[in-house]
Amino acid sequence: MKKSYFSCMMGLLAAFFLLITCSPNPFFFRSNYTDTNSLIHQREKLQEEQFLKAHLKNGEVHIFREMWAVDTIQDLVIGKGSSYDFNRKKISEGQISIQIDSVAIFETNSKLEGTEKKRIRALGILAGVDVAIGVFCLTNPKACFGSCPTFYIDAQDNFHYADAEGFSTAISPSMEYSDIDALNPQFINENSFSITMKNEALETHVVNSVNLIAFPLQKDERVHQSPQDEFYLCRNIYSLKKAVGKEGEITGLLQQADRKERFSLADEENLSSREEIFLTFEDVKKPESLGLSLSFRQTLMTTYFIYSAMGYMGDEVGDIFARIETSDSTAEKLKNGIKKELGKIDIYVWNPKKEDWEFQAGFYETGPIAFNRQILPFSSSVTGEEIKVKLVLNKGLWRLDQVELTNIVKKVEPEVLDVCEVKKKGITDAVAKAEILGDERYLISMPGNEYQFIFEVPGAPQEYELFLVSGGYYIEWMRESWIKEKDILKLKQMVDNPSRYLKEEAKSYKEYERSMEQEFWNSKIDTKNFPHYGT
Amino acid sequence: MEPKPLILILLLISFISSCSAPKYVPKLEEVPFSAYGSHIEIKQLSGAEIEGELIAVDSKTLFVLTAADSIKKLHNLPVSDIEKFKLTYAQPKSYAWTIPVYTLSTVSHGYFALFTAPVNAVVTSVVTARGANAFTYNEQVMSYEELSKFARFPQGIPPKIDRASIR
Repeated sequence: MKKSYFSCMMGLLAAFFLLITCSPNPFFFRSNYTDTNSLIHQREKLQEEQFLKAHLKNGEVHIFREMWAVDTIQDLVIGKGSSYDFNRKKISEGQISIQIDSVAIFETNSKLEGTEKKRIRALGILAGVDVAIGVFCLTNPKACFGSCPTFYIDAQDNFHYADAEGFSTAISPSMEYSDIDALNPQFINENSFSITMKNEALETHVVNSVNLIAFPLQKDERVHQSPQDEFYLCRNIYSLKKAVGKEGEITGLLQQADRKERFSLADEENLSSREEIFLTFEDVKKPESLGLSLSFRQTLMTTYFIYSAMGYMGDEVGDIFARIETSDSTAEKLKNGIKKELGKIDIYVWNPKKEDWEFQAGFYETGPIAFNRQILPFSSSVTGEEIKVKLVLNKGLWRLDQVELTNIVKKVEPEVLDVCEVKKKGITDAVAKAEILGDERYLISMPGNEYQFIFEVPGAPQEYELFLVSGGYYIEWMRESWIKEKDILKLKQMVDNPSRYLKEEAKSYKEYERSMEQEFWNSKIDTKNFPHYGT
Repeated sequence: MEPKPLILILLLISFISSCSAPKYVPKLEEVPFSAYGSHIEIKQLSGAEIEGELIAVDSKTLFVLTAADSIKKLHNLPVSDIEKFKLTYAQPKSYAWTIPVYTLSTVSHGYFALFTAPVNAVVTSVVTARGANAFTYNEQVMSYEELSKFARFPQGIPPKIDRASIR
């Protein structure tokens, strides 16, 4: 199994702690002497203090606590301490004087010191690391805490394997919208399919609806969703032959849906800088009605902007959100200002006759957690078996997992399935079901909440292309540390002049990106098997 | 944290917390001044288990004073019948509290808790387990001859003492 850098670091850390807490060789601190000469000799040899016990032939024991000496003339051991009988009842305490010939065995004990050093050191280092990470996360909550509801087909999965994330940009009631996420082909044995929604962030999730779209699939068929939320039945997959980015060939990163992603770091001068990726597909047998299928997600850049905006609002966050709610133009500016400046993943197709790139359209979906798989039907007519495609995208904003060409057979209409049961902690929750099904009602999900939505899928057993539709909005919880970041002018610049904001914020973001992005995403385990992933 | 790992950690804590030695086993700093023998747990080849204060050891027999239901009794155990033993000469230091405290502290780590929580749980569990076994010896590191140093009577039971009267 190939381990990521972060996993290895953690493994080494654990190994280090195991090593320093390990005490393979026990120390022997106790010695026994049957004759006085060897006791005296040993005591002179040792510099450290030795505590003496004299075990008498009658079973008594005399323990010299403070000082002791051997009187070789009178054959006595003298000192201060305590005396006990054979059942260890105390006989006396204070000055002791015993005849050497009454002693069966002398016992010396070294003082036991530093026995806990290694364990305390290990706990100290661990505490230091914990505090450092805790301080980092509390001062950079953008880096450590997620956003929006996450959905899991397997409820045991963690956020790295989220199958969908709902309405990522709906950070206030007026921004509520419905979001469609591809769940990829799933074979459903029985007539039911369930998905679990988790609130894994410091947010209140206000969920209006959760629905399932299921398309039965025949052999070699797929259904893809377009950025305009239209659905296309597709056949024939043309795998990527070659991909080149500014760093060189990246074909291996984009050929498979294996979560080995291609991403780049942001431009340190301007966060709206763009870059190009060139793709080549060969052996395209049917160049007519082609579409480009892309599996992608965002980096943490947009999450950074959302948290930054909240920080700039400081203690006026309530007032500003009230203004957003009552003014469409403010909401529109906040929602689309930076988004427009950052741009989409624009798709161009090479026209060999015109010897020019022809713009098709673009992909855009907010959210750094779950992958989005969408298709973009080519608007230009394409000929030839070799197809060249160019992606133009923001530097540092996108993570691309897989790209392929496919033939679009026809546009298909979705059948939307309602939830038939909602469970919370394994128990049917009729109120939650009523809230999800009611048009004007909302299911409120607080941090730590998990809801399981169960759908009845007609026609099973059968393979389906599934999509999750989730509608609602979420309220980000204001963190105390953010209030200190209040900067209304910066907020105004972000909303009114996003182009300038993205230039001026580049340095701060790069710092965040350096300290956070790499470690966070390197921590993903990229060898997990994803049976729900189409290949 | 999910319920199952939490239950496992709580069980581990309660198990490790229950691993303290009897009262006659001295604290670490009192070991040089203790008049009693060390605590010994013995597993015999027959599968029988016995534990108590180590009274004496000779070449063929271990003498162990047990205290079942407050009734003290001296047992003679042939060395040849002993499969293994664990001797505890000082009260172990308990680090069990570090398991929940350290592990729960990772809630402030956000996404990183996915990695730091298990690392904290593992490290503190190892520290706790090693702390619980820090002041022990077993048959792999100590011979029966050396074991006698940790008996109440390292010289052997004095012949004039009535063995039945040993308490």
